[in-house]
Amino acid sequence: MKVLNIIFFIITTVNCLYAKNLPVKEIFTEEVWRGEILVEGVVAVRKEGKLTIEPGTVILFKSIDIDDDGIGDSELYVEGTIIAKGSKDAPIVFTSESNDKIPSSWKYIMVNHAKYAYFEHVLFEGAFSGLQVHFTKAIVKNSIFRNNVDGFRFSTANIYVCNNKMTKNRHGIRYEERDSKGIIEFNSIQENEIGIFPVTKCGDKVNFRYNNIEKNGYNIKVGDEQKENLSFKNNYFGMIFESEIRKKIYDKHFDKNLPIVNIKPYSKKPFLESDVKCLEEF
Amino acid sequence: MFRRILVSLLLFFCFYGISNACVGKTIYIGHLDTKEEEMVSNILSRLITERTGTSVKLKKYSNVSALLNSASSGEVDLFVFDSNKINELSKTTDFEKAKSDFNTKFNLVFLKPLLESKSDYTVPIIRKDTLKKFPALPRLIEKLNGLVQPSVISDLVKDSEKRGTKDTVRDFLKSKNLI
Repeated sequence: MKVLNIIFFIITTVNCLYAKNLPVKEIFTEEVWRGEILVEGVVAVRKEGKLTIEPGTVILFKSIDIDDDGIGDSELYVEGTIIAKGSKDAPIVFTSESNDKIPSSWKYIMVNHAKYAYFEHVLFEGAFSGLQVHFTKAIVKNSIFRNNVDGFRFSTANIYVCNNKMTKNRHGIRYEERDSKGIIEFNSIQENEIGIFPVTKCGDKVNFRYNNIEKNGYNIKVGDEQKENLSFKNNYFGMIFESEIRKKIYDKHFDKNLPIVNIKPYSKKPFLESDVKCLEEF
Repeated sequence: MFRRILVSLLLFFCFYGISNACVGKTIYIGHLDTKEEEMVSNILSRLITERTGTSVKLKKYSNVSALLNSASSGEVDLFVFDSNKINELSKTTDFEKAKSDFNTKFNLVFLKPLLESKSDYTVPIIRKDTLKKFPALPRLIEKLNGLVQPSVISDLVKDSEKRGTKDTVRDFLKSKNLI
């Protein structure tokens, strides 16, 4: 029976990793990254582990695709704690080892059932998902998500997301809200195919406010299985007239089976850097 | 001990769900090696990806039997056949009989035909397992009903030769307000 328990333990904790025979490095204690770090396969920060990343650190994900699904396999998987606090002058960079930095060159930073996650002044580029947060309290500030399939993605999370730039991703922010809560404010979500993609099971528990959501293919696109109307009040959509704003919001106005995205009141001018006031405490 | 096993099993299924959700489940669409069939598959692919966020990949086959075998064995989730192919495979011209045969013999389900005229039809066919994972898929695919007539697909193929499949498919779906 003990053997059976061990087998189950392995399955429960690493089923996502072992299926593909990827190299796996596990962190069980406190570890600090600085300089240049190469991730080949999976780095997993376990429950008792804590990863601190110093300003200016560059994390390169090796482009390998063992399962041939078109998505790079290298990833950082966090169940413990991650503190990635860069600075304006020395941001932390998560990127592909290859030069082209195309979306899906590496898989993601997955923060799942973790103790805590903090990201500030971080660049996420060339991933399937720059950052995914599930079942975790996470703070993401002053960071850039670019050239990913999904820039920032979350589900059932407690999040504070402030003053980030999501650009040139397929989806700037993609989420299944479920039991999430939190605030997403003062972000610049521009030049993505879709700015914000509420896929399904979204309500208004996460407050999107004071964001500049403009110049995207669609600024907001509601997923086919989303049922409830959604509220995106007090954001700036790049235009003054509602009729123009509506052209970039894919909701009931395009497909009668979809819910409505409420946008009023909306800002008629963009939020400026001087307007940004991220919460100190969350 | 039983409780520990139960907890482990629950955790397994919990994490299993997440691991699938990490990069999304992938739907495989099979098609024969013709430009027209590839175009229809690309339209389906784009519609599904754009509306649900699900990853879709296309698989090309040289003949009907190979495609059917792949669908039956789970390598392909979805494909589109016209009545000529179905009649040949099921040895009947009766739609309901063919539908029943595909269901019982291959675990494949006929969705609502995309096109119908007299005894001719074009129908999306999906694996039962896939349908369980994506129960809302038929409703989405139905949005293409009546839109993929041979003449339309032929024009789209010509257009794609000039400016690429991606732009052609996107503009077609956008013109119908489907994405």
